Amino acid sequence: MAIAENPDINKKSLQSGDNYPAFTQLKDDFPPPIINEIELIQKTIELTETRALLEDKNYELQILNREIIRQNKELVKKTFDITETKVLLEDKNIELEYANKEIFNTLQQKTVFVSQAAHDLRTPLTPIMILLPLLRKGITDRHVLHNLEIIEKNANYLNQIVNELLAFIKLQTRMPENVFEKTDICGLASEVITNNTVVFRTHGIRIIKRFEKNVPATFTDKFNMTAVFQNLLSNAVKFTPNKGKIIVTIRKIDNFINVRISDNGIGMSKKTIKKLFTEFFRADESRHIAGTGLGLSIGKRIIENHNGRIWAESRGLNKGSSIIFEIPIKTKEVDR
Amino acid sequence: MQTKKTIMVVDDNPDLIYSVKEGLGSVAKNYDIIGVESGKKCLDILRKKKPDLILLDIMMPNMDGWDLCAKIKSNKKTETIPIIFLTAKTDAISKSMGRLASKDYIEKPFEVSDLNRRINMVLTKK
Repeated sequence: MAIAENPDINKKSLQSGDNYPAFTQLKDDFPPPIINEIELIQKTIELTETRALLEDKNYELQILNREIIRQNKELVKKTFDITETKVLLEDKNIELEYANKEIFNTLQQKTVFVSQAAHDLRTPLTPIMILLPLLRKGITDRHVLHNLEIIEKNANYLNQIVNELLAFIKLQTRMPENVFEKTDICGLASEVITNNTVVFRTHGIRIIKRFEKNVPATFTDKFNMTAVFQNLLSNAVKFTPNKGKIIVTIRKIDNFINVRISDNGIGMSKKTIKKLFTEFFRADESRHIAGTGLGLSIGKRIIENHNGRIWAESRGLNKGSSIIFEIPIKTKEVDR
Repeated sequence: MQTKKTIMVVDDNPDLIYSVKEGLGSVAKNYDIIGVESGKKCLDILRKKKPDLILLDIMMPNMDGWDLCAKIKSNKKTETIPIIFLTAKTDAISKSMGRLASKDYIEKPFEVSDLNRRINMVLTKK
């Protein structure tokens, strides 16, 4: 009480420590306090306020924390749900892929069957179509003639159905899926050349194989690669005169297999070389030769599917031409 | 009077051989037609007789039309005999191979007048 009533005296005595012998020692140990009482009270009030504020904040944070924990739990649950759905979807996807393959295979089988049936129908139709008109010639009896006309009309109709069926199958037939397998390109080229022996012989064409030794095997889509060789050789035959020659060269250049099919045929102009691989392109110099103009563009697509490239070279008209393609050597299927 | 031309028809279906004989006989009188039902028989006859033209089926048992064509073209005595394929095969590869290996490629069924026209074209070019 005395301190509060007379702060000056008390402050003084406190500072000196005269009236409190026990402080004498303390006074020597500690320096006199520098904060006066008001400041102290103010600080206390401030600290109390700060504490209250902090407590408020703490409370708020606790609430927030609880909310975060709640939300986190929800997220974990949702993540779990999503993972579960993802697994389910992946399973469904596998099932669908399998079903799709099954459908594709069934369709293929059906197409092969219908195609075979349509072709088989053409053989017995031939004698019918030939003999029926002949039969009509000697007949004078109107009734018999009428019956024959009905048979003939229906035979023609049957023939039309078979033709429509074949046209439909042609549209349905797709290129087989690309199956890449280890291929000996020189062996494959030799096989195609052997299969065409009759063709070369008929045209009196000399075929020369220049295969470098030890050309490594590479992964290719064998079915389509065979089609490329067949097509390039057929083309070379078409544009080479009788008694001409075709040279097939296969070499390993860096990490590529380089194939060159050269002939001493009608050659190509620069303009033709530029457009040669465009779909339905028919060179002026080949107007008289049968073909759809699709072969080389399909070949280009196949070579590009092997990450390779294909191009043509010619020294000009009547100076022969070469078609060259190169594909990178792949030692594993996954390389592609 | 026109000289007779000998045409050999090779097909495993005797009805087809018969109808070709009948059909061609009705549009032209200058053909002698020999019908053979297998590749082997065809080669046997070719040893003794050289026809002016061969009409050849592709799908035949044992020796098919491709094989037979190769054998005819690889023999010096028969290599010059023109061949026309008569076939039910209509796929693009067969067609292009057929056209390259032979003088013509006719799809079954065909009209006799068309067959006769194409035979004439080959015989006059020969």
